[in-house]
Amino acid sequence: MSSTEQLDAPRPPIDLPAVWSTLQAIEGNIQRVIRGKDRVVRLALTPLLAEGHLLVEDVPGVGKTLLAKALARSIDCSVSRVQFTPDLLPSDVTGVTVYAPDTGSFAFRPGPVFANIVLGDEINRAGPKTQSALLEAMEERTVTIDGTTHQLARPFMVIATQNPIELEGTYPLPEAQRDRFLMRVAIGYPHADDELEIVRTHGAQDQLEELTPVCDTASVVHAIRTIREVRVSEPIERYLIAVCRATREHHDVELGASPRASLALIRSVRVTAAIAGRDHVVPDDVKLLAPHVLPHRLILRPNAELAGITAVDVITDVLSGMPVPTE
Amino acid sequence: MRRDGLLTLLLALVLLAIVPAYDRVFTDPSWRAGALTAAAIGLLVAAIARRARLPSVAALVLAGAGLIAALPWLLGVGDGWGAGAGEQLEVLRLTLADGWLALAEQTAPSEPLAGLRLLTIVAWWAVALLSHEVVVRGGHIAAGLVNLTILWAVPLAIPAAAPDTLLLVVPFLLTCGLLLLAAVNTREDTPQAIPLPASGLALLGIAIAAGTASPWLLPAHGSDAWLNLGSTATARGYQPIVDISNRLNAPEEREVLRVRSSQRTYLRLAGLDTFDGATWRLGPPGAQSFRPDPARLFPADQPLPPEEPAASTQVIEVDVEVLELENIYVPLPYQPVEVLGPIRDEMVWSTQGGFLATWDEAEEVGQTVGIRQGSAYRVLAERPTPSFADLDAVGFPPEVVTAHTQLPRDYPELGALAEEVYAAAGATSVIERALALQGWFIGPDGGFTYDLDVPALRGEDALTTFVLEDRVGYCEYFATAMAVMLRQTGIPSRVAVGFLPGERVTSAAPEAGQPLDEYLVTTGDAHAWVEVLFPGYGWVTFEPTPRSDDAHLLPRADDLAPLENEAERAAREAEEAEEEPSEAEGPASDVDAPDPLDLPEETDQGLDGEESAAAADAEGTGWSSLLLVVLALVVAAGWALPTAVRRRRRQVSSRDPRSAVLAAQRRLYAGARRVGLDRRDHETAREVLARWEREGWIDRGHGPVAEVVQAAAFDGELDPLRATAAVATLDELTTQLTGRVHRRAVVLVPLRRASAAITRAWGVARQQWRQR
Repeated sequence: MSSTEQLDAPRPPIDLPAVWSTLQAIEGNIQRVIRGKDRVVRLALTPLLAEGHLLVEDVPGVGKTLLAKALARSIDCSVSRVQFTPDLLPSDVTGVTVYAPDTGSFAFRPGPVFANIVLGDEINRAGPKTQSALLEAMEERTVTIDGTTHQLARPFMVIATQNPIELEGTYPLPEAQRDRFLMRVAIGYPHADDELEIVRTHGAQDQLEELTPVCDTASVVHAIRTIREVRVSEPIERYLIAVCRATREHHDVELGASPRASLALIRSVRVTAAIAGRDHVVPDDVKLLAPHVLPHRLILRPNAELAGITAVDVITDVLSGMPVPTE
Repeated sequence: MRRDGLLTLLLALVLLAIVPAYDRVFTDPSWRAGALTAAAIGLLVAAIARRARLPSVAALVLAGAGLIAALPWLLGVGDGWGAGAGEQLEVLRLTLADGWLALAEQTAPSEPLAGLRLLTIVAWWAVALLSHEVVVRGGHIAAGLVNLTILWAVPLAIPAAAPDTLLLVVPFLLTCGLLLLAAVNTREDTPQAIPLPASGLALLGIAIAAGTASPWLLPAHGSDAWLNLGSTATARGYQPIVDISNRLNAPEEREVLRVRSSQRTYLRLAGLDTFDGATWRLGPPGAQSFRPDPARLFPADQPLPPEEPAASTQVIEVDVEVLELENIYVPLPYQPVEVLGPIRDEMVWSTQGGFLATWDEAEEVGQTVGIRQGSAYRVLAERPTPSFADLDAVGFPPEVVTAHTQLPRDYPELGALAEEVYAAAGATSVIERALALQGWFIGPDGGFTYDLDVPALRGEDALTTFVLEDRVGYCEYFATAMAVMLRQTGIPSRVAVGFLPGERVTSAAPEAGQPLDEYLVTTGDAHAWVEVLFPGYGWVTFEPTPRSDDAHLLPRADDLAPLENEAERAAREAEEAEEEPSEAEGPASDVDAPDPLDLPEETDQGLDGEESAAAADAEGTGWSSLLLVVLALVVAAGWALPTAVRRRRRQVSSRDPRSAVLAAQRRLYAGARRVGLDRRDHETAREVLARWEREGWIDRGHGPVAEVVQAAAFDGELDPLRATAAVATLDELTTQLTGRVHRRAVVLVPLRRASAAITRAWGVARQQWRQR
């Protein structure tokens, strides 16, 4: 999809306008509920279309769950929600086989993971066993129970939220598992004017109830397929890989971005390009997404962490030192 | 006394060193003899006057008398003073007037016209005399150098094709230095008003400033001035007809426009409404410098009102890409309805003359250039396509006739000749007469010859001489003559200037994504033609120039708005004739074919006849003709292949919009680097443009350009029209960027770079030290 000799070959037409209007519709719908967070909304759409999962990490009360719900409601698809607690069992997530006395046989009762969008609230409150059950489903897109493998729906996206402040009684996600999330976003506090708007409207009625789906799963699947066609030229590929490799050699980093991270980044930038209505990826896309796709995969050196350096700082540092291709 | 002689000699040397500078003004060196002789008269007379202890005034009077006495001989005009002083004076007066006119009209370098030479001669004489008086008599060496430096610096405003900076600067500086040295060393008791070393620089500064500020003393420089030792800008005249001969006579033919159009079409720059006795000009008669009537100017970003309402028209669409042309007037098919493309925002459409141009209301000429390399635009036009019967029936209101038949004087001979032509053709109506006159110019009856190598059409009698005697000239001559003859016989007409349709390089191939024919217009296609006003049908084109290369389109009674040139018409007519059974065509085409084979056969027989038998002869003939055919094919291939390759290469290099955009981007970054505004390594095209906008180096609102650039760079879909526009914008940005940085800052760029490198190295070293 990328090399220069393909320049002269006739290109397959990309059905971008249709995709673009789908994306605009979803984005506009979510923005009706989430005020003043256009960038976050746009980022939240990325994993859906790149077939990844989203980790929303922020303090309580900034609208993590609202964002997830709004996204889920904007698409005409099945949504389920799991509130993670310390006593939640893996089967509460994946489903169980139960004995039906009337038929005298065992029947499978699918758990909440059998939905297009799974909202995992406070994922760090569940025990490691339950967490890993969900994470396995995220990676494999299948669930195996009692020797039977069940295929999950398409599109399938997990939006997990976690609260970085309360550490008591939580089981933080191991680094290796955080890697399964395509992106991590923080929502952040709203602007004063937006907060005023939120106080006024949310007090009056339930905004979520008013949201109606603006597209169906088929058009999302079509969008996902189309976005794979977005061109990433060779200079961009090289630039993107150079950014990922640079995290591995950074002096503040213990463990850098894996090749899976490079793959995740390349999938995400295609989506950003498509959302911007482009049929090709530009360096700006990489610069925009790297601080969201890469940081949660890095493990910093203890002294850097002590010095208050965050993974986002590292990525910013890497980007500011990386020559950008211009042609 | 020895000192005086030495200084006079050195002054003469300085004047000689100025000669290369003036070679830029004229196309050939025939000006030199006159100017140098005049300077010698000035110097010698002044020196003799000083020797004879006569006052300065006497030197001036004597030198003036000497110059006037020598002028007819120096210029080669008139019959000399002996034949009649009054007559000679009148000739000189006319030459001077011609000279002033030429200053405004000729583009430099110009032919050494008598008028221009007269002005040069007077300037050299004056400077020589003045310098002598100031330097030798007054002892103010530096002040004397001011005149000389002005004389030297003025022509620097003219861009030279191949600037010979060494020859231009070194001899002049050397001789000036010698003059200063000699003056210091031989100084006697003459008091120096100002201490020499300090005053020298200051005076040189004044001299160069004055010299560069006064290029209005040069042909066609209007009021703008710039010091130019290189060859970037092109001198422009405001009157569009002036540069036709320059374009046609350009030493090498260059491609100026690439046109995509469904039909062949003339590209018109402007219609010239006024004949002033020497040339056709824009605007109404009387005004020396044309200012368009504001009431008849319309912004070009809206549909354009017609210059003249035309009843019978055909819509055409033309895409023009400018390859190499700078002009305030935009070449357009006539008459345009709408212009698309970025240029439309800065243009005005004038229904007086029917031109689209940038027209500054301010006095500054040449501040904005209408179209330039890389400009691209699309024009929708309504081509007048009246029929003969339509025009035959047109009535001419008296006010139309009065408005468009004015002439500066009566041309009775031309009028009489025109009536003769009409009578011979039996032409009575206006359209018949116009066609008859056109036929007379291009046909055998007139006996006219097309030739570029003729002196310019200047002077009172040049036109009548051309029509009645010489009958040799190029388009400007024919168009001027026909239009004047039409006006003299009461037919409203004018001269239009522009370009011929050019050569068709690519034919339309809709299935290959090219719905339009592509034409290349070169400098050789610069053209002037005649337009006749038929009320209700607009200005109709006539073509009096007998060009033999079929580049033009010839209106005929059965086809007044032709689309095919003469060769194509002939081919079509031949084809049509062939379709009807015809005896004459058959053998004619047979004669052609065997001809190349006949020739080798004969030579072959000549060679073989003596040595071999007749039996072998036939076989040998067969073989050798085959060999010759193969040889001819190889030669043809050898000739055609490089041409094809060259054409292909040119198409690849200039056609591919992607590489054009990337090249423009490279130019932008290189320009920025030159003035110290480097793109930082980690900045994308978007970011660097945004930063430059923030910092005020470029105007705001260039986001779309970054988009196009990145699409070009990273495999995006690229619309050719947007790409062309982006190239223009990028080049515009380069100009803005480099123009807005202060000269001083540019000079300091290497210093800043060096200090930044040192700081960086120091930072790296410190970091390594810490880590250790």
